[in-house]
Amino acid sequence: MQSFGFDLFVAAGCAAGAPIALAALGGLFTELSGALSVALEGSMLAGAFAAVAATRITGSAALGFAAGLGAGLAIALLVALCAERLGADVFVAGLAANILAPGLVSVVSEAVFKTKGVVVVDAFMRGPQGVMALAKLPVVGPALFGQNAAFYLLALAAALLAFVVGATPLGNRLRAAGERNEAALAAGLDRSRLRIIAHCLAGAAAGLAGASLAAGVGAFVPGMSSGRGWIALVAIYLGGRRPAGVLLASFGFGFLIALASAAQALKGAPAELLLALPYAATAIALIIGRAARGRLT
Amino acid sequence: MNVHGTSPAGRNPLPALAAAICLAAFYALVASSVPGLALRAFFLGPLSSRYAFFSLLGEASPLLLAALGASLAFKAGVFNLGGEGQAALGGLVAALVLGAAASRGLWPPFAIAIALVAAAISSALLACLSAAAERFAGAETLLTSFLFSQAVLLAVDWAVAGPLRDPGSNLLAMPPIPKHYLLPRLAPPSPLDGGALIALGLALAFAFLLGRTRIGYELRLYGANPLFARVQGLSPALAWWPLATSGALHGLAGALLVMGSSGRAVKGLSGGVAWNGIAVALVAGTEPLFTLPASLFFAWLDLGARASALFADLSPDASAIMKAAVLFLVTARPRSKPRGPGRARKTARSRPRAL
Amino acid sequence: MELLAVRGVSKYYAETDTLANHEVSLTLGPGEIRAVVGENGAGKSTLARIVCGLVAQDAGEVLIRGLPLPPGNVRAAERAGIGLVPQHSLLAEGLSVAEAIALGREPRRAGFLLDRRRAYVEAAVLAERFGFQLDPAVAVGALSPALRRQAELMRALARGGEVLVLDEPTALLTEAETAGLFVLLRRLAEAGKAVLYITHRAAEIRSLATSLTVLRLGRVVADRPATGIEDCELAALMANIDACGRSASAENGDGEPPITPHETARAGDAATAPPLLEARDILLDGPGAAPFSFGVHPGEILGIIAHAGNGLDQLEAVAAGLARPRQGAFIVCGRPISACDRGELRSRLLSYVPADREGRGLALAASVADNLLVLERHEFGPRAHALRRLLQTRARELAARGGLSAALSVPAAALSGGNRQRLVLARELDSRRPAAILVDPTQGLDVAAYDRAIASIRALKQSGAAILLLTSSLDELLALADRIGVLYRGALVHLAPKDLRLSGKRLAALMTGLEAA
Repeated sequence: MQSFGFDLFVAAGCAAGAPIALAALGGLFTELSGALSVALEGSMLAGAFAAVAATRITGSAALGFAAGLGAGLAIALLVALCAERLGADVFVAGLAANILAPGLVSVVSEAVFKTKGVVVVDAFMRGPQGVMALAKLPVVGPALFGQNAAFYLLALAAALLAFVVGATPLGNRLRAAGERNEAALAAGLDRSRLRIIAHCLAGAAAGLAGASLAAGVGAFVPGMSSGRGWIALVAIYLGGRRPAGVLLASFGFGFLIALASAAQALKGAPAELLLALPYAATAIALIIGRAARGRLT
Repeated sequence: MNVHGTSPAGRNPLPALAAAICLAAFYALVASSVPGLALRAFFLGPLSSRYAFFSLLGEASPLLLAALGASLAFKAGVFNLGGEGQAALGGLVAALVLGAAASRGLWPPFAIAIALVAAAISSALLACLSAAAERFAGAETLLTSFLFSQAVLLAVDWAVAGPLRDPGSNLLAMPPIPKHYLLPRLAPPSPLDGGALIALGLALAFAFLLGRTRIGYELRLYGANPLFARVQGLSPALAWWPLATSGALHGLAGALLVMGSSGRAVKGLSGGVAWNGIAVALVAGTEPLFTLPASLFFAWLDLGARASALFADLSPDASAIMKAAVLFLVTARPRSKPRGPGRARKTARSRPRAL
Repeated sequence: MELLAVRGVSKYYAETDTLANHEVSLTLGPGEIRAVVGENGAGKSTLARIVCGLVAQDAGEVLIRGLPLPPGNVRAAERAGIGLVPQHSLLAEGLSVAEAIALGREPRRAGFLLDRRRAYVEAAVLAERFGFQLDPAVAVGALSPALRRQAELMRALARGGEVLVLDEPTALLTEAETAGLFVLLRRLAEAGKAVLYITHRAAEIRSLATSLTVLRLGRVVADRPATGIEDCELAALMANIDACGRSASAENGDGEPPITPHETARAGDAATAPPLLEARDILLDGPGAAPFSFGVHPGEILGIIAHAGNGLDQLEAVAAGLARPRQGAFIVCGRPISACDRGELRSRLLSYVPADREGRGLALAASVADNLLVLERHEFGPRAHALRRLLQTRARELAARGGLSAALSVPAAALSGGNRQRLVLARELDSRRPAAILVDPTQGLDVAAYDRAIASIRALKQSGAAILLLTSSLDELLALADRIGVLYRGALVHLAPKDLRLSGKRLAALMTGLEAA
């Protein structure tokens, strides 16, 4: 970032917030259905690697994204089956997924690409040319039209998820499954099946979010999800388990990341130390939010 | 989300362990061109020599401490997901203390003791931030412990690879600590050091504390049912203990990682010790004594995978897959009937304003 | 032909070792409103849940228009036209009324989209047709108890409910709201619906029911038209009381001994000593609540009885210091309970046997010994390990006193319901604490354990303890209490020394609101 401008900052914030927002929206399904979405982190990492691997092998970014989505979903499905069919604790199974993902990625990466490190791919595409022209608009131009394809895909997926929560029977049914009373049972709904579906949606969303992370960098870097899955989980609670709030919290974190990155451009700024700030700020926001809620009730 | 008071203790870990071993064998058979060699390296490598065996013990020590910290928190019904940051902070503090002590020429045993205590205290304070957030604002420890830890983790990495970095080395690490300020080696040339004794001692001490003392007794009751604890008049201050102790143990684990064979604080020094610690604690059913064999098992998986990578053509990271398999299955309990109305307990009684 | 027939239905709960229903039979025709009455634990709710398919019966069958329903199948029961308005809401709190009603069978647009407008219109049409005053767009979580009942009724009707099963729907309703609900129900009956109305408020039966089934201990003890039934007859049927007003089971041998002059004298002394437990102007939550006061003196048992939903659980929480009343204070040994140090309160002053055994009274994951010794933990010093044998001895002593035969090292979760109760009693019935709050202390005990518990509670009283007994069982009350209070809709409608002339029948009438004090 040679010349730092406000519009570019907005664009960076959106780009950083989008994957978190998508994963958080996905995780919202699981949370609404009454289960914990601990495995977002693992799904994201698996998605990132699968996207890079598939793009490298097939040369098609579209297939890469599809693979990312599939990998995230597979991880979540594993958690869902362990929790809902084998009776495992969903928190523990989620942790297992988060331990599994990096190990599996490393093993596969070594087997396929003969490296445990960075896997570069250059087939990820930029946004369509027509759109690129609009990127010259002030403030919102770069944010809305100057992003790479991954961003638009995320926006699309996020819209789709929000739509599913808000406009289809599934959203209501998931919510009922998460209720403490027997509403779902009395309505003849299969709670366990609904939860599995919710896990899968969350995994797919997180996988796609991971793919877009990789697309943004143009490579897979081990550990590149770096806690974003957990942040997505925090965003769900910070956002009060409502889609709009979750989006707000996610992009809030995205902008904190963008702010930290932008501050790194300043001379003598402690680059990595600034990256710690978004986490601390989120923790403080969470505490303030909870304290305020406690005073209300 | 109400995660307080539900302790996800593993039930019978043996089927899960067996599954992991089968998975390891299957992986070796499928992925290796020399399956026999790989299998032998994997399973027997860590036990093949005195050196290998002592390495196993050394490898298990920090893991044991982290697992103790995790199981103590679980036992009291608290989720501490901030172990990585707490371990990193402990490591950094130990390195700083020992560096300063060495430059002043302090008596080494004294310096080592100070370093360990300082590491434990600083990490305990970090963990207490989450306890305070829960106590005074009602923020979930599950989330705040992770967030605080992540911030600290990045800050420690920055410090280690930035202002505190050893300029004379191309590692992202602080300057090495002089040899005589490190924990003494117990069985040279193996990397087994005095940390193993510390870990073992603490495991026994905590088994004793939980099983045989009043504070341990109260902690167990608090973890088993916080409402019961309140009704029976147990002190609410108990809520501080699990996180403080858990943090301290993670800090010690980090200190061990720095004061052992590596002898310096490197970037990313915690290296997943806390996540693995949680897994070990769950496999051990959150019983302090059972964390001893469980941490040895996990260290064995790690060393076995490394040995099979060295002597055959397998990936050292395969151990993560085995660990995940154990963890996936350890809390499983196949049921015949579909689950009833969630885990919500029937508390149909209406209550007037709670205090 | 009758709409609904229940034939010989039985249900046994192994976890709590209770036979909730035993060969229960009843019929219900169009336009009929059948009240099912009985005391707490008579098996009313279980019957309702079996009819609706929420619970599978062990034997017997439920028939709709002569066709048997598959047991434990909600969907089949619903398709056959059975709609439940349960005690605990079946509506998803997070949805709007219209959405919650439509859950599981949502109207759709384009095949997969939720048609919110149609769900709303359908609900509004239904509300209009039967005269509900309810906006279907409001969130369920925001409804008042009365509107929530209406929403539940609408849910049942929207699912084509011909047989409406209502399980104690008026528990949280005011008089006016109750009257409004009854108007609705009568209108529904006139429209040809059949209503199965479950209640323990006998007062409601006269104004609503056309027929009546009385359950006691899971069995049908009466099945008759509701017209012309006398209040006293009804109360007697429900409470198993004969003409002279003594509890029937008390006469079977496990009741109280005759009052001796010695005891009467003691009670006289006690009244002069200051009360150890005292309620001062306590106001509970609830539509009918009114402030009340009472005191419990040393060597005295004050028994307060009520059916569920009348505020006994609130009074328990207040008396145990776990909740604050809307106004007033509860005093233990001269100090407001909110000002007491809880640790000292429990180990030195106040024994407490809670109604919620598992939640408040036990740490199920901890061992039997750990549960037994929790109030005495300070007495063994910080290094109890040195005295491990002493601990074991003390735990064994407590267990023996309570007649608890389980191993001390197993988790409390492994105990049966009766043994859990014995464990709590063994811990709490100890004379070193001068005051006690006992809630349903003999519930779930077998005959031998019941006798032992009654004897221990009397012994505790003899030793000079002030005991507040909160109960829903007349047997327990009459066996133990020196003075008797009745709580009805959050108000203490009766408080007087036990008097054999005050018959159990009259108490039952007070409890069900048949008679004002």
